[in-house]
This record gives sequence, structure tokens and C-alpha cells, in this order.
Amino acid sequence: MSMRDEIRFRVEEGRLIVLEPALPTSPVVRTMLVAPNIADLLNGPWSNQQEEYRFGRLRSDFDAFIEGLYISACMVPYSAKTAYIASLDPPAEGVWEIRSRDPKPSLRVFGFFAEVDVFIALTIFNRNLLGGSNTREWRDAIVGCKAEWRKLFSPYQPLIAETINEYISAKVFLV
Amino acid sequence: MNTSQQKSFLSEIADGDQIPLGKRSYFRERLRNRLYSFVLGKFAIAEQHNGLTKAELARRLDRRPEVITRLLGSPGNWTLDTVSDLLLGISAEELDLGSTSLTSQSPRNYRIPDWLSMAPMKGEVKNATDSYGSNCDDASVAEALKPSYSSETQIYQQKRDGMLSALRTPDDLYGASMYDSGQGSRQRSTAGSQHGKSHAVAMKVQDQR
Repeated sequence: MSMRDEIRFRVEEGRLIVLEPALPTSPVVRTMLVAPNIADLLNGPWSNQQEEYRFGRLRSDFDAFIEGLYISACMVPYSAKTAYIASLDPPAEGVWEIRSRDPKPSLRVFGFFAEVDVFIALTIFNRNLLGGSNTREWRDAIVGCKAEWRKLFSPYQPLIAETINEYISAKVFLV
Repeated sequence: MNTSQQKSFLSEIADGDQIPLGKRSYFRERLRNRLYSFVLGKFAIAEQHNGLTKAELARRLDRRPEVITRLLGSPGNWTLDTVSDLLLGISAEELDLGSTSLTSQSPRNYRIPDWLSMAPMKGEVKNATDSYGSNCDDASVAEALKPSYSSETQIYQQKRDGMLSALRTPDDLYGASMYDSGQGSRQRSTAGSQHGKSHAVAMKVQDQR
């Protein structure tokens, strides 16, 4: 079986959700799959307007990835805090975070690339609660994300590559 | 096939009803992301064809290079002035205004990649640990299946059992199940989300009204 077969099985099992763009007219250029709990947050219902507002913005940020808009990326941990997507330390483990900054507190979505242009979002965090760089909370969050991957795909490994275009084939701005 | 819910995202907009805050926030962020993509595309062209650099752009706009790097890294702090400046500096252009109806366009058929829309074949092994995939090398399989492989997981399980109590997980915030997306997690996460949302931290909301 291939990695794609495994992904399809996880989708069939309901353990991953294929994220379609919110707008029926939007193109689908890249692929994003999310854990069910993240899909719940995107789709609502929400308990208050703050959540509704916040996750509307997050949904739009995800759609920017799916629609193939230009996104900024950083492959060197701790070096570009403004990038849309960044590799976490250590890069060899293949954990990435998508940053949804506005409004505060910003959100961090951790996940892996299964193949080029296919991102699997597994966990989500309030950035404030992760503390500063390289704190125990960050390390725990990374360990937790890796554990999620193993639960879904072990023994398959996430994509680990040298160049950004091996992760995102086009319209990526390296910062 | 489990996909995100698409039903009637534009229904209130099409029907002339009050537009929910979440959808307004979606389109605000969408505009920001599309503007960013548009400007970055201009920069990529100018970089490739004219050799434009961030340093040269900084000189043209009388800004520090690190400011240009930050602006090109994220649209978070962009204003209309920022867009105007960047377009002038990058390509000597101004924004051409126009708008498009959201409700009169035909939906696209291609919503999910073909390989994802195919149902799994009968007889295929569903458990990843039951078979070795063609893109899975022997070394990684051996590493993944040996007992010591779970040491990290054991640590994490210990933390989940108590040591993580000091860490406020997204369960406390948004109902996101931080360490549980296994089988049956949807039910748990749904329940968790209701619990978690009641404890959601106050988030500053811009332009709610």
C-alpha cells in the first residue's frame, strides 16, 4: 500500500477530514486534511462570537493554502516569525506549523506534509499557551503531534526534504 | 468520504440575510490573503525578470530592509497604504479595482483530488502496521515496530495522565483534543469541544460590529 492508500483509509474511518475550500468557486490546488477536532472548530457551531470570528479567519487561512495562493514559508526554526508556515525544531522530524495570527491570541496548527502539496493538520494550539521558543510546552506539543502521526500512519514516515519546493511546489516565498 | 461541510456557505449572502460574523471574518481574511498573494506574485516576477531584491525595494520605499522582509513575510500589518507602496515599489503599478459576484458563479467540480475521492479497494489492509507500503523502507518499518519505539509515546502518555496538568491544552480553549485523534475521537472531540468552549479564553475581537 502507498501513503495515499493510508490517507484514504484514515479518511474513510473518519479520523481525517478532507478540507474543501469554503467557497464552491475556489480552485483546489493544494490538499489539506485535518483532524476531526480541527474540522469541528472550523465548522462550528461556536459558543460565542469570538470563536466564530476567530475560526472564520483560520478557515480563510487554510483556504489560502488549498487555493494555491502565495504563502510564505520558513525552513529554519526560530528565524522568521512572520512566515505563514514554518518548520519546527528539529527540521529533520518534519513537523510544521501553520500560523494564524490575527486576531490575537494567534493560533498554531501543527502537522506534517505527507507528500508535496499535501499537508495533514493534526493539532491546534493557542500560541499564548505555548510560551517562548523551545519551552517545555513547545516540546510537548511537538511530541504530541508526532504521536498523532504515528497513531494514524505508523510505520509510514512524513515527508522530509531539503528544499521548500519539495514541500510546496509553487507560489511559496521563502523568508 | 468525510469532507468538510460545504452546505450553503453563501446562503445568507445570497438570500440577503444578516451575514454571520464568522463569514464576514472569513472574507476579511480572504481579502488580506489574496492581496498578499497578488503582491507577492508581482515581487516574484520583478525578482525573476528585473533582478529586484528586497534591499532595492527597501531603498525605493525609504524603509529599512528588515521592514520590507517583515511586510513580504506576512500581510498581518498591511494597510491600504502598504499595498499602494509595495505595488509602486515592486512594479510601478497601482491596484486595478473590480469586484466579482459570489453567488452567480458556477461551482467547480474539482473539489477533492482524484486520488482522495477513490474509495479504498476491498481487501486492502486498513491498519498501517499490518502491511509495509511501497514507499516505506525496511529500516523505517523496523524502527517503527520495535518495542523501544514507543518510549517517546510512553513519555507522552505519562504526561497526558497527569504531568501535563500544568499545560493548558486546547481542550481547555477550543475543545481541540490535543493528543487524541484516534478512532472514535470525533465523538470525544465533539463532547470535548462543548466542554472546552465553555472555558474558552477571552479573545480580543477586532471589528466585531
